[in-house]
Amino acid sequence: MYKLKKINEIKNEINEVDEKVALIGKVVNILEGVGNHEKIELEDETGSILISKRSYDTSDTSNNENMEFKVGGKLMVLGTSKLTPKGINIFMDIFLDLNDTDSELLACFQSKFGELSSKDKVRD
Amino acid sequence: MRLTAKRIPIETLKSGEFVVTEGRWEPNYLLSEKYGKVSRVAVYGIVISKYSNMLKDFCSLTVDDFTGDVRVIGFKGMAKTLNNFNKGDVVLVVGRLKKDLKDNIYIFPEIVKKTTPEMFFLNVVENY
Repeated sequence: MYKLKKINEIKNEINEVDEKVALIGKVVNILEGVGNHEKIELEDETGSILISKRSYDTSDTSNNENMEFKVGGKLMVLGTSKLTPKGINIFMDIFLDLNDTDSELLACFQSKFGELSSKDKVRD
Repeated sequence: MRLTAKRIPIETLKSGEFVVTEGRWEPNYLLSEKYGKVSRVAVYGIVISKYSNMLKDFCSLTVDDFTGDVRVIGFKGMAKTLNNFNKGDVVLVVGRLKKDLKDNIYIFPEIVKKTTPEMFFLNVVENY
């Protein structure tokens, strides 16, 4: 199961490494590479993180083989967080293009998950 | 009359108690604190994995809505329908709850259709 997280929650918590996570953010940078070794930098209101187009689990075919990203585009990325020499990276399994999504609806969705996860923390 | 399909978070399927009824016409159901007796569900989620064996008329998708994930298993005609979906698709699944041989709950689908991320977000905002 993928857990919806903010970028700083992944970067600050060492327990969040090797976890399946989902992030929503905007593409701020595309780092050149060959084929699936290209990385993008995704940013949300809490920070930014590097996302590798390469999936960590290569047994399934991912939906990201022929994708092209644009700077400024809104994305939801589902992937695995891993510790690399350059810090915590996300290896992308799935992405969803959210450019046509209403920003108010997206904000309600994210705040709903914020409420749900805070209830879980109280229960723990 | 067909039972109403309830729009519930997938985590409910893991937390409730699955009751197998004795009568031939009584449907099995999941007993949930919040949602009561749930026999049919309508679930929005993202396909995170797919397994298909069309020689054996079998296809299974795993659908995740960030509260949990559940397998959607189809045989014969439904297997052909499920095989049209791919990892990363946002789907609506309407179907009955069943238990497999390992006591894991799965959805036996009646309707599976591709939908948009907006419908998934709207479902979360309205029903979770």
